[in-house]
Amino acid sequence: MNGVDKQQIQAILRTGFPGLLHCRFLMLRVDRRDVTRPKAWLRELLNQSLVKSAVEVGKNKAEVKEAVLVGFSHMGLEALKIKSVDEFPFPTAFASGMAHPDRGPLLGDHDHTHWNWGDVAAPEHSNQAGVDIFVAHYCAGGFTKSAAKCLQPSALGAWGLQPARVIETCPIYRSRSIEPFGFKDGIAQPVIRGLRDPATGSHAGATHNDDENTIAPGEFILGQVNAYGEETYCPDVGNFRRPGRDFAFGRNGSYLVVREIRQDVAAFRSFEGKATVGVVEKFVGRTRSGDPLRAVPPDRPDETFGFRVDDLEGFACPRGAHIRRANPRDSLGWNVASGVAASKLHRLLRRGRVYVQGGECPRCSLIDSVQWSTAGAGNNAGALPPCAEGLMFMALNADLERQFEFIQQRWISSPKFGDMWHDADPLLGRSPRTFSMPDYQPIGTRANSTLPFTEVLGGGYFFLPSLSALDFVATP
Amino acid sequence: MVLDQLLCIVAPPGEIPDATLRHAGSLLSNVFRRTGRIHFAAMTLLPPHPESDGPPSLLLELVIDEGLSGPELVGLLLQHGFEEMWFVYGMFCPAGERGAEVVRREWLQRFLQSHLHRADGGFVGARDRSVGQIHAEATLFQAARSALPRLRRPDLDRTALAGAVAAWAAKQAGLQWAAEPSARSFWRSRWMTLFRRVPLAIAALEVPLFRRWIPGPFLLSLLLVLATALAFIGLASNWLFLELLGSPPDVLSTLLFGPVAGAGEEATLVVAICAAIFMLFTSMAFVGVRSLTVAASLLLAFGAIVFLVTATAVMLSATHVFGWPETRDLAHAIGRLILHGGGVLLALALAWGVVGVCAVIALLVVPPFLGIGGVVIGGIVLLAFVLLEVHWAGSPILAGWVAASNGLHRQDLLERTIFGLPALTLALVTVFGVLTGLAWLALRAVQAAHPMDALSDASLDRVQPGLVALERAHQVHHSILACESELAARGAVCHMFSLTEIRDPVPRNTRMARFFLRVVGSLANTFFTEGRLGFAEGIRFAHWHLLDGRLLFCSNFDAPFSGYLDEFINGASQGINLIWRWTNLRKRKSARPGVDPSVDHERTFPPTRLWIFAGCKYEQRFKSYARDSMLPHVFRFEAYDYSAQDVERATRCRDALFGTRDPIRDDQLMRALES
Repeated sequence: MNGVDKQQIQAILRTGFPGLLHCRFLMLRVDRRDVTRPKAWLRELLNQSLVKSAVEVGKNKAEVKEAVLVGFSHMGLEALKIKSVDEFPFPTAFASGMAHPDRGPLLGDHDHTHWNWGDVAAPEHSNQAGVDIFVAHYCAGGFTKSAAKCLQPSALGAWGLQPARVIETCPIYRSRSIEPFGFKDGIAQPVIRGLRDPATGSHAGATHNDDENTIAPGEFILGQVNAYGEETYCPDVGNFRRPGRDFAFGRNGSYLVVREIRQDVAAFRSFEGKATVGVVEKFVGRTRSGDPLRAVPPDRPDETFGFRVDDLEGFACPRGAHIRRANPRDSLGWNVASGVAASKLHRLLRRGRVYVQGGECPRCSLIDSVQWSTAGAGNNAGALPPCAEGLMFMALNADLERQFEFIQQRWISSPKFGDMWHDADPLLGRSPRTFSMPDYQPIGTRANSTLPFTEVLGGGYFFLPSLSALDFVATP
Repeated sequence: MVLDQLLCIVAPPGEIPDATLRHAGSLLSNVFRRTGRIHFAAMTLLPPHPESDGPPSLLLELVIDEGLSGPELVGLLLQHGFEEMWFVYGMFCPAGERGAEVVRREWLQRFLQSHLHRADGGFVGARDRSVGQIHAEATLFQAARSALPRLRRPDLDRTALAGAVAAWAAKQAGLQWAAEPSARSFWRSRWMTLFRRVPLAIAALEVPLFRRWIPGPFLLSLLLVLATALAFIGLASNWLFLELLGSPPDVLSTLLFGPVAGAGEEATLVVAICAAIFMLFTSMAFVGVRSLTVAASLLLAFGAIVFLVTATAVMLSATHVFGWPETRDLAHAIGRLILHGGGVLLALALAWGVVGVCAVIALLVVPPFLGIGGVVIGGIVLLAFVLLEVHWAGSPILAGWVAASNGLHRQDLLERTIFGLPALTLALVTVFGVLTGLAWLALRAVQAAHPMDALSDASLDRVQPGLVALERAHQVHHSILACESELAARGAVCHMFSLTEIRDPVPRNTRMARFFLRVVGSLANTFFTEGRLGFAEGIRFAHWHLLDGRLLFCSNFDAPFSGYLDEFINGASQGINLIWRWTNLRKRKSARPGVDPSVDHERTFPPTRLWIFAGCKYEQRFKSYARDSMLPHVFRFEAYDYSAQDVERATRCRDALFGTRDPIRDDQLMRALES
């Protein structure tokens, strides 16, 4: 059982389905009185081959028209009577959940009361919905005609599932790989060793430096060898193993981090209007079209740049810029090699989409995918449709504590990141906040922003089972 | 000494009233703040010993200013908060001594002093800084930072702006203290170059061995020192008699100056071997923190080379004087030479030389910033020095002996010897240079064959998947999570208490752990003086205590737990393995059932290879081992909330503001202020 088993892994680990412009997120609540119906619904998804495996997507494969990602919160697994065994319990981070009150301060979510949804049982006196199953439904066309009936929100009740929250996304932003503030998104994704497919994914065309960006499969897929050379811990479930399936329930699964991040486009634009030219690009560390801010002119237009060698002080891309916080590349450690090695321990596979408020955007949802992928040439923010509400941040990793939580805590939220006195992430940090931009002559400047640009409105950790584990969950 | 700053008060086991635990935090924090000399404090309950059914014991961790002694600390605590300390510790006072305040005060003083436990190994990130200094410097830094926008003018360039800030600082009232350069202790002094640090640190390694009774190393080091002394005395006596009397009175010198000068070959050999073993031992531990495979192979290679060269040198010196002799004459000459102290000195000097060379080379080769030139030149210079010294020291004896036993005129011989030796030395140095170069090339070849091994001994560190069952990983007890959450909500520094049990056989493994804690402590004291332990950054304080068969680790760090252990795994794995490989986790009860964690599943530290490899490189097993060994804190006190970098930066800023202006200081100042 060595190597990455592409038949078992959900396709989302290999691709973000960039060609499936339409996506709808369903946060489902399981009817606890009768779990046979939700299990039958899962069986229906499998029977219709909606949950794709990694082997079904990629280069030279027949075009996928519709696909589904299914993840379970710990609460959801328990509701479906999936109990871990004593020797192999689920990791605490997953089991207690992102919305657990003790986890809030660690992740910078100091207040969960205004959350719309979470992965724990809803606290009393709150509007927060407890989510058991997280579904991302990807479709080439709109959802009205061709999409699977069993995934229509109105049909879910019959399966014993209550759609606690349905979130629609905007295909136009997807087709142009742009987030609501107008910046190109989804750049610099890690490549999983053994699952390589450079032409797939939103970063098509970018060439990657193998050593720096190729990550051990165990960093994203449970049971595979991780960056330390160990097999990533797999939780296990009683009765899962049987002849021909002598591996743990968790094997070939992954953990999905979901955060509903509302973006205040008006506040951002208003700040940009008043600020010095180029400050918001410094915030991100890239231009709107996605080119990194670099101190030395690049000899190749690619993503292999480092910070330590080119721009240690942050004169071009400030030390606290969002892309440096989210992926410091080679700038940590005591030399380039150790810096790259340190960064490789904390990488995420991002699969986010721009979501819209209140149902499908009537204008965008009718757009044919071909029309927009060709029409989206100009990248100026003014031309973006105004429907975008924020980013449905989705990221895959195998060790929530070492990957997502570490990045969130030590890099994104830390006021000391990059040897700063007291800075915050310019996009995600709490306000009021300061952003230092080092400069040599005579000295750097600071940008202060009082209004928050983003706000987290919900989130959760979901276990993304392998196809055989999903089959087990679907079995009554 | 760093270890004096890191303390624990370990009270005897006893049921602690809930009220004590509830109020200790607020009461003691005020006391600690009033003393003004305590950087950090934390309290926890040590669970009972695995085999015991007894109550927990109350543990108070304290990090104090450098230079403050234990008794002084106790005095300060009683002076600033006798009532509060009594509230916490009064319950341990036997009824007979609970009299008037004077009596109670006296008892409490004795109690605290006798339960004060100095760290067995430890590290302080921002050295040489008192609580007061940290506060003052941070205030100064913040003032300068907020004054900057007012001082900034378009016509000022970097230098002029730095000058303007310095001028502003000079005008501020009450900053006389800052005008003095910040204090730096011996090991952090500015003249402490690598070449001074290495021999001094090696010498300092022996001090704790003498202070505490560790029989093996103690005896060896004692022998070494005695042997060195006797060899010098023997040599001096020979020289004295040769110079003054013109004849070598071997019988007389033996009588007057001790046995080694006139001892037989076997005794000399034993002393030399003991010395060599000791050297090997200390140097292995010394270089181990960096890269032990490299160091050990170098040590062996150089040991062999030194043996050959020593033999050649002695043989060539003899033949140079005698011509190519009969076998009997050669043995005679070497025997005489050894007999009269020269051989001992030679062996010792070369042993020290080997240690020095290995240490220097391990330090220079392993980090990539020095190329072949640096290593070769360093090696040649050092070896040339050693050889010249040996030859210089050895030549009078040799000449004297040859003169005496052949009836020749000593002066003639000396002249021939002196003319002969430089040429010989040059030849040897050349050979050495070539060999060093070859050794370096071999090392690079090995590294090139394993490009991923560039960090350090990755092949030995390689983890074997499936070697140990990975069960119950990624688990955190709710009390630990709650503590971490509470700290994060306050924006405070992270902190961990970890308690593990020493493996069987306990006495032997305790000794091993204690020895390596001393080594790590010494290294932290002498080498890792600038905020990095190994390559691990962001540690404010870390200390280990051996408490009655258990190893307690207390640490503060500027990172969440998981990231902190990653720094350890990648930056100081050898040290971690050397300290924790002697421990395991045994079933133990919770200190507060239902509140604090218990250990329900026994396990050992992940398997190490050759003591220092692998081990914590089994990341998930190591982290779960560390996680499950953790104890939640009852309360924590920190005198300030500045990261190690903040403290360092504030000091740099102060020195840059008030020192003489130069481009480097200007740059430091501007960098500090713009951050």
